Amino acid sequence: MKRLLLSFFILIFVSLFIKAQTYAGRVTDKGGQPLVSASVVAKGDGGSVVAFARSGQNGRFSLIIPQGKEAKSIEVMMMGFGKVVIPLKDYKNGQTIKMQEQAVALKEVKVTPQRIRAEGDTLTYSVAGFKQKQDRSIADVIAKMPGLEVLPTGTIKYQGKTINKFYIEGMDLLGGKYAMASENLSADKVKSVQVYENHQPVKALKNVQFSEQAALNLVLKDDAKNVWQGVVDVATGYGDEWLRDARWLEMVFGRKKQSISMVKANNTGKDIEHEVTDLSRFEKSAPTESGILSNISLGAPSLEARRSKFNDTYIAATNWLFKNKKDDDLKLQLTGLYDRSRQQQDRQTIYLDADSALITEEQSAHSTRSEWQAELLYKANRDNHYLSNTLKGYIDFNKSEGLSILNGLPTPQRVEPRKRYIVDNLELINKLKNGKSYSIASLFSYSYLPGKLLLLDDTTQHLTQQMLYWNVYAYYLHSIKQVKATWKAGFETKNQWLTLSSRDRYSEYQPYVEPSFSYREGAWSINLDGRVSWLLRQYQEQRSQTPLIVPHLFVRYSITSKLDISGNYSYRWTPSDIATITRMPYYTNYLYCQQGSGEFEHTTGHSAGIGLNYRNVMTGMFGAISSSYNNTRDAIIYQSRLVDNVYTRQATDYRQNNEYYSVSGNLGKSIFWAKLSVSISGSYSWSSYDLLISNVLSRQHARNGRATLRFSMKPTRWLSIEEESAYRYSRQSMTRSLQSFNHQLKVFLLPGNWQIEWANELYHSNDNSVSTNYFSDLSISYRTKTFETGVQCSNILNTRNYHRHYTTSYTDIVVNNQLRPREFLARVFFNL
Amino acid sequence: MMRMIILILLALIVRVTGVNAQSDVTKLSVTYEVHYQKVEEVAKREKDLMRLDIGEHSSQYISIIGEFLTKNKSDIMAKRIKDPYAGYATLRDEVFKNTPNEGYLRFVHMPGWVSCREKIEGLFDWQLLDGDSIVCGYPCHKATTIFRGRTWTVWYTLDLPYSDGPWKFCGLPGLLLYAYDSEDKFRFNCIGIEKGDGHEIKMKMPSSGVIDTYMPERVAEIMMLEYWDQSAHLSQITGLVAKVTGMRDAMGNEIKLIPQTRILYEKFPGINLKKKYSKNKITKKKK
Repeated sequence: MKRLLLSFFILIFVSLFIKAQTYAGRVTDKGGQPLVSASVVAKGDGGSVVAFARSGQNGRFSLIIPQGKEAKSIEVMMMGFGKVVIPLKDYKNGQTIKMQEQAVALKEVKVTPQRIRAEGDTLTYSVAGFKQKQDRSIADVIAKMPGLEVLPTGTIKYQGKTINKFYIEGMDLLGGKYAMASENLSADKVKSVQVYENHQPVKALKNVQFSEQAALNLVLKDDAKNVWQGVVDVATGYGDEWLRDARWLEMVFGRKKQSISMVKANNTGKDIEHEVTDLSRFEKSAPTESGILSNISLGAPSLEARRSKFNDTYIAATNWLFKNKKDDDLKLQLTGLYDRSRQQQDRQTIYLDADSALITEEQSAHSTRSEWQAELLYKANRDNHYLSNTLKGYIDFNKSEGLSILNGLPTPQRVEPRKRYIVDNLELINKLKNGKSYSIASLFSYSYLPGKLLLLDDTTQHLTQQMLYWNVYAYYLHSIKQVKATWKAGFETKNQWLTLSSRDRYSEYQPYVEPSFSYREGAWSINLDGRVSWLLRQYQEQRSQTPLIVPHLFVRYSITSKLDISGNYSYRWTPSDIATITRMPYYTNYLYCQQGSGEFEHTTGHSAGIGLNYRNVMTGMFGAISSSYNNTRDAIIYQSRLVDNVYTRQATDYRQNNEYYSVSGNLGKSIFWAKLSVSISGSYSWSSYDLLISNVLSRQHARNGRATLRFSMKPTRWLSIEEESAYRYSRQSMTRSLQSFNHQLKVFLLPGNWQIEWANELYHSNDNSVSTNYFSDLSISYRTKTFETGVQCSNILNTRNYHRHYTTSYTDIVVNNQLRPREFLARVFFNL
Repeated sequence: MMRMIILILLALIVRVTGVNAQSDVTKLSVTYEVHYQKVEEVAKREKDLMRLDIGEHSSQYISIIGEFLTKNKSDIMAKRIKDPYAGYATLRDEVFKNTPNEGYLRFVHMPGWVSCREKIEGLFDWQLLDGDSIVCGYPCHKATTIFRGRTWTVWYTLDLPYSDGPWKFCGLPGLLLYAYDSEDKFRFNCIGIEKGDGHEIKMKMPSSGVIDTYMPERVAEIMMLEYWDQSAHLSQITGLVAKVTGMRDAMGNEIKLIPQTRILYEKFPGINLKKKYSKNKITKKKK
């Protein structure tokens, strides 16, 4: 008896804890006939499925809700019948559920061959899905991929942010000079373009330091790998003079070795110099001195650059990348550029802050650029250990000569803005067990700029700049619960020398401590860092000591897997360098003279931004909106005087308070029908600043807006269209608003192996002092896989002049530029 | 008289509790793209196209490429039409659920017509997970299971309340549209859903009319043998002592005969081909 009672109590006791609930029932049609194999589901919060069952032969089912789960409703489904939803509180255990017949409206789905595929953080764009027949280089195809943008300078952006690495088959051959590959590698050799979102190139920092930039990787077709390939492309013709455009390229992409070498020559106005320019600073690098002098630049009209460029350019480059057995990189890069350009322009400038003084100039200039660069890189990028050393050297022999007619008087110009530098960046990162890591780095540079400038009084200004920079630091990284903390300490020093008639020296010594914290969990990603430093400065006999705290915050939240929002804030305290504070007056060009206060200066500023990013790979839609605010204070306000045709800017005691707001957005969509890609972007900015007019500080406002529409499509097999339209708006408080439009329409007819390309450009504006311009080019070529030949005529209508009117913060300018005439070219191209 | 009645009754009973299910027509066709790695030794990912035809009470999971090749065999041989499925490597496995026997599924491996029969009820033990996604435009829920050595994560939709999916998958309240295994060796991805065109759902039979049916583990062993020792495999399926001297692929290129470890949907720890089939031994295997 006792045993019976005991077991009875145990049963009750135990049953109190077994919370697994069972719901039974019977599914029938409206006539009462049992329905077999109906799906019965218990749904919890937010529609998640908590338990399920199927009705058996007699229509009966038994739904068991497991322990710990809570159900809110029971749903019964079957094809051909309407879904029955019963809230749990209304459900009677054992009840009969009658289902009503319902015509099935099936949502038919056909997934078109995916042009874009997403796997984790990697997006793969298939080149075959975006390539049009007229596309030659892989950059032409990347420009059509939604979310990606190729700027005329060659820079590639993903969702509005520049990429931080450009890989070919996973190897980083070209570093910052990736335009050499993107613009010369034929689209036929590339299988797909991959975007690595939030790419962290250093393996030892994976999951430790998070990046907000993306990287690009080209996946080559199998027959383009491990073989030597070459391209020979020669074109010649006549316009005003004998024209030439030739290219010789050699490349090989293997698993252990990659190389691209090329030689190019051009005098048809095409910009090939950007291919040997670093498009973005990828890794931490010591800065080099920016020169005060520069080659004479007469400003280009806002047409396609090649229309007003009269050049004779030669570039040569060779890049080699070797990987050893342990997968370490050894890279050598040598580039050289030689260019002779001429420019011709008439310009009328009104200086708004120098009492509306007017200067007219007729200018012509010849510039020579001779720039040579070498880079040697060794990198060991292993899972627990990263060591990288880059040694860079640069030397140039640039000079410009010009003649200007200044208010009727012929005035010769001559400037030699020469620059040489050597840079060495060393970084070592070691990952220890349990997720900690430490790093040591040294960034060093020495720049030497011996510049010469001819002044109006026939004397030559010898302006020599030198800079020695060194930043050495170490950090220790560890995790505190969910937060990754980095404790960095370092010492940064900058020494500058400016030699004119005498030698000036300015030095900065800054020991600093920079803690930073980063938290990344689920949808949140937060980065907070602050640099605390003690800045010691020395200029001539003066010394200053300033404690500084400079914080920076970045937050990102993923609202859904496709949409995320981010915000950032930072505070800047920037010491002004020797070019700003030197008491010696110096000329920046033959017309402009500048003089500083001779005292320590600095600028401070706040900047904040917020952005929204959307990407939907299934529908091929990418969009981003961002807004930013930037405030710079304490910048020197200069007083300008026009004395003897020289525009002199002298530092006053007034300080600036600049404010800048901007809103910008872009949207891109790829649509399968007719291989259509559309993108629109717009931006609007307001800025306010102070200008000193007749010794009175007056606040000015400027507004600028821009909207662009771009689309490309292929409605039939032999017809392809690319269109780009841009609208620009600009307004300053002292002048009336300026609105201009430019449109580019390219029509391609592609019957068989023939390609006929007709390009049109139209520029017009609401302002009568900007001329309406229309340009038309036609080219006919015959292309096979390995060979191409054709003829081309640029500027069919022979439009030779361009007029323009634009405004800056303190000037109002009207310009007339000379353009390239009608030109003919015949071309032959071989792909080996 | 009595005997007649009994016979008639028997006939009726047999008719009613029919071992053979009635013929079924396709109500819904779902196309899947299958990504898989064929053998351990080669890291290449292959692609295959399969179609799940769902009828009133049965379904078939068949190879689209196989169907195309059978229908247009003569045209392809005569090179009158180009191969639209270049770049695909078909697995030649098909699954028939609830046909020919209700309550059972049949897995058929075409080379050799090797098959196994399994009971559908209780075959998969699903754990429901939190997570929503949209696959092919249909809202899906997540579930997981460990089945014969592989951990599968799948997405199913309640908008299509069929207890079905690619390959042998079944048992969930909705149709499976996406599935992958934890080792990333297999991925089933739905790329098309359309109304069925009414064609028949029937298990394919070879011209001989006979299919060898084994236990699932034996079928897996035979499938692995196909890539491990081609001669032993041929002996196995023909029942005769055979030796394979050379193989060519669809384009006529010679394929090397090296032992490779086939990766299968199911991992049976008991299979050890190296031990059982050492090279240079041709033995007669019992059926």
